Amino acid sequence: MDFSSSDLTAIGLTLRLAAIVTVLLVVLATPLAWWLARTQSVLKIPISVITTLPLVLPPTVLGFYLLIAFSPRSAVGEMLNLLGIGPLPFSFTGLVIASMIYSLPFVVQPIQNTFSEISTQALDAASTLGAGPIDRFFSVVIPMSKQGFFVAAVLGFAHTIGEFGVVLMIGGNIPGETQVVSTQIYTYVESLDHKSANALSVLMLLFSFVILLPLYTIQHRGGRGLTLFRVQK
Amino acid sequence: MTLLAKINLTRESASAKFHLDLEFNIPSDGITALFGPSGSGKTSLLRCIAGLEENAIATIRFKNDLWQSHDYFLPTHERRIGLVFQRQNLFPHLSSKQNIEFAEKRVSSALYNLNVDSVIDNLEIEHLLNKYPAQMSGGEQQLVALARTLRSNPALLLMDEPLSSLDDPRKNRLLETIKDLNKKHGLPIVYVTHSVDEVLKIADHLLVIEDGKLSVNKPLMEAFEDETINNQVWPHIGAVIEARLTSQTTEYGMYKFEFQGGNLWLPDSNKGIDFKTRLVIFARDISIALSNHTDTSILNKVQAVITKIQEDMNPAFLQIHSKAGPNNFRALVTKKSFNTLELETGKSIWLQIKSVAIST
Repeated sequence: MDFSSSDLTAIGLTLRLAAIVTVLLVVLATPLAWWLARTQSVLKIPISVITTLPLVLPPTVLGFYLLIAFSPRSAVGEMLNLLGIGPLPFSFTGLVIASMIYSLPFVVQPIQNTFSEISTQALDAASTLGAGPIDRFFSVVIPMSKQGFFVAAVLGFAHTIGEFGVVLMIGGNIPGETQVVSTQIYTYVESLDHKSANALSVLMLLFSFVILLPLYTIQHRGGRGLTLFRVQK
Repeated sequence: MTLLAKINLTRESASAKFHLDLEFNIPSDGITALFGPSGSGKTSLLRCIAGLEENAIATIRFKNDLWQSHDYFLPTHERRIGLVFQRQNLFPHLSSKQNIEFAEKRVSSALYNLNVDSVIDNLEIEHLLNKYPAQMSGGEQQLVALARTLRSNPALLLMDEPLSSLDDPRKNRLLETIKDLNKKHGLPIVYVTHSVDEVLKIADHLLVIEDGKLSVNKPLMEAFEDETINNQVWPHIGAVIEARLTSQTTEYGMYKFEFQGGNLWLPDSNKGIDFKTRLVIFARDISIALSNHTDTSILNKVQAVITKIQEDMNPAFLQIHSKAGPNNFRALVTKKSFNTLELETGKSIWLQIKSVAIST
């Protein structure tokens, strides 16, 4: 199995995209997951639904609206332009933002699940031992949620690598800028180059298998593992 | 110096509405037992004192420090309280040692220094230090949790039925440790329990809470003068006496405890002369005689004067209240014996006591 230089570029870009998206998502999803796990606000349900939307929406719908939103003539586009960002469509940055929205539920859910399992008593105990709110978050919540973060990162990474529709809509298929493995495979199939398409597809298959392996290993050992979308009490 | 609390808390869930509404001002130096049936609001009250109930409308003052008022709220982590829950106190992701270090690292105030090394040594947790909570029994976890709390250098210790996961011998040892913490190290304690036994063993002050309201707020020994409390809280107790060990016979292995109003002989005590303790006598273990019989196997006899005669819950019996010195006794006597002996208020009697328990 050998890969052309454009394959290697696409693989590199895919990994870079997934890594950036995963890191940013974990950081941003953590406060959101905390809020969702602890709040009793009436907003909890609508926000939960919005967070889960990317899971059920066709990627084309998401991509279409993002394209509209990012367009230099839209309000968002103009604002970004003023801030010196943009134009986002058909750029790597645009792809990062779109992927973050697309993979959001896969990162928020596992973190939210472990957060809601942390007993109030553990936090109360920490308070009585002199730990303030921020201290409690970093010394009790985060370490007790390690497994949730691991699951979230793995799923966010894998899901970003596996995306196609949104990438095509928002990123186009520009080599070195927005051409990722999945769109590269599409290009090969379009041009009837099944051999090259197969090489990349096998790679994706193996990668996906390997990355899901640890999740189920955790579950087998009695850990939380892949209990993704539980209904919150 | 006192602990003052005025608390109003309403909690509503789908199934029940709970209202806590009470006010007290108790001595802040001894052990206060917070007693009441489950669901009466004991735990909620403790959580309010700790500042863990966000919705409580409360005024709380500990000694000279205001912790909470209508426009002020000192967060829990600044209140310098220690709280030991009923169970599962420890952080599951940390070993015992790390749990204890968690507390040590966060001690900021040098205002008050609890020197509790000897107490922690007595807990005998050395062999548990490298274990994680999941690897320990409930009782072992409680010992580590107590050590952790003490290391946080609290000014007030709140305990919520801390002994419920311990077996009896361990329970008794830990009760003594808790008592020592207060008596030798000066740590004030509020102790939630629904066990009369535990109240009698360690409490100096008694708060009884029923259905969110305070029904008793008294020094423990004074509580025994109140019939309502006696009937409601400890219907089986005949007397609780504060006594001092004064001598020992080597021949019979008996120990003499003196109290104002008499003395009692007890077998086995591992304590030395001058040891002060509380003696507990059950009402059913007290019988009444009109004279000081010598032809009986009963060793302990106390002369007393009848102060009151009352109906018992069992219609065949009467409660005979009497006093020896400042101490109140309550004996259960059948109506038949009552008539035979012609008992009446003011009459001098001899209480024959079949058995006495040393409470600590």
